Amino acid sequence: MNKIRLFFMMLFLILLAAGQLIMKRYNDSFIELNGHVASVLGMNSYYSDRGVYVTDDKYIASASPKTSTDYEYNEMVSFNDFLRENDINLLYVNKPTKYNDDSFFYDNFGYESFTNRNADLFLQRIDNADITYIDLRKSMAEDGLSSKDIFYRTDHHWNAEAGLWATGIIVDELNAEYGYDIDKSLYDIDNYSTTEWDDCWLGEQGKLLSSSYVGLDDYIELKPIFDTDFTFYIDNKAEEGKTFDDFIDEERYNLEADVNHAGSWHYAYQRINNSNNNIDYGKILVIGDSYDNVTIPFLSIGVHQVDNIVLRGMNEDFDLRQYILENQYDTVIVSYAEFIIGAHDDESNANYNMFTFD
Amino acid sequence: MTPTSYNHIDTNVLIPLGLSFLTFKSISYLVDTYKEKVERSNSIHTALYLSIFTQIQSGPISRYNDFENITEKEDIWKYRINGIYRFFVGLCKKVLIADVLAKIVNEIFNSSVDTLSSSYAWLGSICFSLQLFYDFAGYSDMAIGLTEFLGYKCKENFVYPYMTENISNFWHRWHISLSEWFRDYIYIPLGGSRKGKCRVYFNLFVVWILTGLWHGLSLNFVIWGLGYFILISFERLSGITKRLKTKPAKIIYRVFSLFFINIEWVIFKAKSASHAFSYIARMFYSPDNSADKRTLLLLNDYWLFIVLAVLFCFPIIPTFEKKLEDKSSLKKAYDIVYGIVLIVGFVLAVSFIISGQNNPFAYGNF
Repeated sequence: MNKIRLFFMMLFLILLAAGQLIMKRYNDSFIELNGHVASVLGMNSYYSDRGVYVTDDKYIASASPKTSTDYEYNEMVSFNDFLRENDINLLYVNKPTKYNDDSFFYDNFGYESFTNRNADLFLQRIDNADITYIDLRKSMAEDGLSSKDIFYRTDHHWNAEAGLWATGIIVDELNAEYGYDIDKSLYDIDNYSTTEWDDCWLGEQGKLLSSSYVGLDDYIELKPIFDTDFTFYIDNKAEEGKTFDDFIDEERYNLEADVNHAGSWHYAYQRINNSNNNIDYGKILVIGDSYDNVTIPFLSIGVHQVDNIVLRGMNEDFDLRQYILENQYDTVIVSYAEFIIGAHDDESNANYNMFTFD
Repeated sequence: MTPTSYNHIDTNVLIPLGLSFLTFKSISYLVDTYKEKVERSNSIHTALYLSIFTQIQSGPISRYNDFENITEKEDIWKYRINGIYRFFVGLCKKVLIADVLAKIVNEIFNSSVDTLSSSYAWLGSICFSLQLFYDFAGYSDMAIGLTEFLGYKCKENFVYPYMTENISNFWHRWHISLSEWFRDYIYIPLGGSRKGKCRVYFNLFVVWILTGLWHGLSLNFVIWGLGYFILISFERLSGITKRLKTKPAKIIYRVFSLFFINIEWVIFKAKSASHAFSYIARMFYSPDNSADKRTLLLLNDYWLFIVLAVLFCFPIIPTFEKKLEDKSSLKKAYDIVYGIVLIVGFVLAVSFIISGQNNPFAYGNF
């Protein structure tokens, strides 16, 4: 009898018998091992079945299929007509995604993505329908910013600095187009203190792949150095005496937490309906998405009241138009990441209803 | 049945796991008993033969007479050790090769045919040929290994099929238990090759139609089966396999055989007959080569797995082990290294499974 093989047979049996226990106890370690192997072998498309692709410098990106933009365009035109009839301003904000040119996706992954071309078509159509919009991709080009400057590597969101910058662009447009007089100096980065953490968190895209595959992201927190005074409206209750710091849930900055299971640091900034007790004009509704966690707090600094809605989370009984009329907003900002254009083509897409403005 | 009444019929039917394999084993048992090839033995052994969990999902379709106890003490430990080794080898084949190649296959076969370039289509077809082999052979290794570990013998189901010299011989190497079942319980009862030339081809036709239908009730499986009928009939009629004498001619015919087997697997994998033909057309002509870039990137990502998959289509390990038979110290070192490699392979396989990078067994649906 081959004793070496007999020994290994016993080892194999022990592994099989203890398999369930080992898998439960070391679940995360196995996931990390899998990611490490994929990383060492340079397998950039290994997780493409999860909709994510990774460049050589561990920048995660996703693709969007081609869309006609018909649904989104028709909804925007109808919504614009409704708002115009009620003397309410509409501003559409096209937020960029992780690459501003679809050729990036083809060049890196050999696969066509239509994220930017869908947005180009949609913006051209709403422009022809006289709907005012900002294309932040153009603003990025004007200000010399690249996607990698403003986006996290391992998360699909942009960082807090990007949120402040984007809010400044929105404020410029509100001032220029809709007669607002928001103090632009409020959005000067020199008026903000920064706290930085390096390699501290794993983004939502990264959690699909493991930290050993893509590494961790840095994080910068921005807070105004000037005084602020807010009233928050949470669950129909008013909470007075709040400051900008109260927009931020700093418990998220938990360096001891397991990065694979910890909450996303992007959501440390929160979207909270509020009124700014230092400003006496402006009542804005932002119909946005999770990128707006880092725009709404900053927008709130320059406007009296900022409310926000994410249509994805609203139940079917919610009547958006009635809500707008009841609350008498002077401006509605529809602010979407451009990958939401086309989501209505797929019923299973979580963003399916985002362009439904009933 | 009117169209409207059809719409009210629930077509989501629960089918017991391994129904077709169980059915085939039962038929073989009944026929062999009727022909007195099998001695009627105790019902527990029969029940075990029919229902042994190691073979229930996807075979092998073992025969009652082959389902023997391993009784000698020396032999039983050798079978147990080899059985467990085989199980681990099978697991590695399935998870570390088949399931990885499945990523390429699923991407390419789920793409619109209009987006395929020739290189992209070829990559998909070759990777599917490899994926299906490693998936099913890996499962068979696990099934045979566990059966032997439990003390029962089990016949081989795959013998390096892609080393085949010709198409007829391929089916003596691929899913052997199925092809032998069709031979013994369909082809031979119909008369086999003993009732004249025309009858032979009729019998082959019936066998291959049924083989196609066994895999699925759709036109592409019928076409797949017919394809083998045509190719095997061609070999019989032309006698080409006997006419090839020189080594270069035999090599060319091997390549030719693999080429057609690969095309057959495209028909097998396709969503429909029209998808199959469109896909095959793209393999030879594509007006749009933009997917070539994707081909290169996929090769860059998965080259190691593709190379390993191709390499292990050949009996490298058995050949190497045979050379070590007379060299005891080297054999000991080899045994240790082999054992460690299998443990590492098992750990990696588990990491792939936990990360959700595995797929169901491909033959589980048949």
